[in-house]
Amino acid sequence: MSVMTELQKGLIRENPLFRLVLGMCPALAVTTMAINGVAMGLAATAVLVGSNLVISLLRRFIPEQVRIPVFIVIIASFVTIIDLVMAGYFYELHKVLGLFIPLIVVNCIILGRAEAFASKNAVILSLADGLGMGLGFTLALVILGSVRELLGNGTVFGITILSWGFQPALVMLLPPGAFLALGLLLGLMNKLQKVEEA
Amino acid sequence: MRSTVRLIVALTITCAVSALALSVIHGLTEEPIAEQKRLAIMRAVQEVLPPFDNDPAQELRTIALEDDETGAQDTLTIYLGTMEGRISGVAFQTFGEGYGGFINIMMGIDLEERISGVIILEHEETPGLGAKIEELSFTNQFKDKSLDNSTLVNGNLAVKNDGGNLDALTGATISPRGVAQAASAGLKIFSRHRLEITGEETIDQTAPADTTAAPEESQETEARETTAGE
Repeated sequence: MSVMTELQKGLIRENPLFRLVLGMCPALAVTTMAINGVAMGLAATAVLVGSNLVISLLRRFIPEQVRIPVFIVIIASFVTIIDLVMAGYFYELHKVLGLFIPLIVVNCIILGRAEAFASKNAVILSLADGLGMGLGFTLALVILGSVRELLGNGTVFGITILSWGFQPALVMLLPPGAFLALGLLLGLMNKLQKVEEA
Repeated sequence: MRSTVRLIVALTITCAVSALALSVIHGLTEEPIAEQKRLAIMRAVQEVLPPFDNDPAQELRTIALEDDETGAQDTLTIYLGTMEGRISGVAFQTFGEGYGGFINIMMGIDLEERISGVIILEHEETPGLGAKIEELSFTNQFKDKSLDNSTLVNGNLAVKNDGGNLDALTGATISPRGVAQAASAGLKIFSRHRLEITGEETIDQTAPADTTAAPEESQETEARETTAGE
């Protein structure tokens, strides 16, 4: 249970999107472009680190029976604070992300980590867990966003990669494309893991 | 019983602390947010107006609109651009209906009733599809369009899919249609309220605009500022 293992596990081994298959709603909805994935991932990471910190600090004070409402109140407060601060001081970023920020409240990764980890572990470990899981989520969203943007628009991060003789598959930017890309990536991850274990 | 009280106390304290934190943060960010919004509007105004040498933030008017003119507002703030003392154009916000909700645009119109620029202020269109209405390659095509020099469908500017001459976006027709709708509404508002906005009835490039002598009859509301053109 060292800080490093808690930090690393979220990236690949327990990646929230590819391994735990949590947080599907934002993952499917916002990943039409790689840059959206980065922004959504980092905003979720900020909330995750903040809520893990507070919930871990309060873990002895919160009664078992009302822990879920208490967690939700704490998470929703963090999301609102981030929303307001971004609107006030990072207006351009907020314009791009504004729609997605309220979605973070219902991102089950955050409630999941609060319930499964932060409410049972010390502050430093919870911070590492939040940061690792957040970055793992970001990584997964960027991969998903890049695949969809590449196939659907021929670009990654707005840079044209496939242009000559490439016919963009618009479906990849539409909701069905999210499921197609996620399904293929999950399959690939499972395959890679089997190869690793063998 | 004691445990019930404990639950209530814990939940109440959590909510009270959260509410306190939120109200403090709200108080701290209220002004910067309003300021950022104002700056964004002024940036858009400066970008869509035809060439001007005044400060449009200082020369604005509010006019009353009739019910059918635009869905979301009954008064309209109009920013005037002047060049060497004469009105060169106006900028104001209009709305169109998109795929995910209202599309709010800032548009500039010159005195020949041509669009001098369009900027998308707010929208809720699908990222990667309809949201591309924000891109310059889309908004730039509105430049110099007017109700006289475009193919109109039902009296409005329209995208090619509907028989007009504006390019739509790949995979998104409804969002561009919303922008065309907003721009058409804006052109009509300007044309109908031209007198009370600029104080001159027809295209007159020789005489300086004289707002103090604005005719009384069609003046539906009083202009808040009448400094333009002096």
